[in-house]
Amino acid sequence: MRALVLILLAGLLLAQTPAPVPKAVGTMSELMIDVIYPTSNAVFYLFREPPKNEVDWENFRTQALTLAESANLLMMPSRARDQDKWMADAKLLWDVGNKAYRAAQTKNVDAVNALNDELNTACVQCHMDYRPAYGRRPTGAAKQQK
Amino acid sequence: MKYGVFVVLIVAIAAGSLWAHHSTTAVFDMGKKVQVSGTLNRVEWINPHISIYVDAKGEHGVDGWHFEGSPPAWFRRVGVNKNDIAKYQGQTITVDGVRAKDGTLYGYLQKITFADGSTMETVSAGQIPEK
Repeated sequence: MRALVLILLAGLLLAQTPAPVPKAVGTMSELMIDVIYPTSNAVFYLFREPPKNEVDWENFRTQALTLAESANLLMMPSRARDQDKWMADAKLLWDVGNKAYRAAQTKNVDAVNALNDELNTACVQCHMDYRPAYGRRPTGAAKQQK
Repeated sequence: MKYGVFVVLIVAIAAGSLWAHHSTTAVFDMGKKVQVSGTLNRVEWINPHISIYVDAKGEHGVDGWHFEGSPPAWFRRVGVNKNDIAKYQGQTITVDGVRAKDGTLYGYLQKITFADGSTMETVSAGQIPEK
């Protein structure tokens, strides 16, 4: 009888313990500066120093996977600004990050370099949509004089 | 007054407002002006920033400087393409910009003066030179 009561009490306690939920550690700015910028730069600029050996490729694979997974971090409930455009923008990063990771797995430098525009579009789209004043400055003009 | 080809590019230079993929103000000291004269070695026309490389005479030989600029799409919008800069490859140019905070030979491009006297400058709106 005593054991049964203990089991019931334990069950009650467990039932009351909330399940862990994803909780952001860094701010959005920290996530961008410390994770997304350096890993996206690794993709943007791979052509400058293409991997020469397995260690280089391991490092790049890590960067590419981190970039791809960072899109999931952007989609966390505590970070998502909304459930439609924000998620669609983050999905652009997920898609190109996934492609970069797959290209890294097959050690295909050309395939990584071919992602330049797609990755830039993913970055710019989200910045245009959510970064204050981004893309709303004077568009500029060119003048030529002789 | 006689001018060479003079290209004015209007862009907000205010700290924190550059169209940067990375955090420009985190990387560059916007108050730390630098001027470098040397040979235009290479031009990269790639996202998220164009880059130019300049070999300049340093204290102990040749210093290889790297300057980043605005994105290619931005230059396209203001009517400047890669060849407008790359055609000066191998020639002496002078670059004005701001230097990286880490003190490396790395900066953010603000103005190029080419060997023929023409210039390309990024200035904030309201600072456009008179004709």
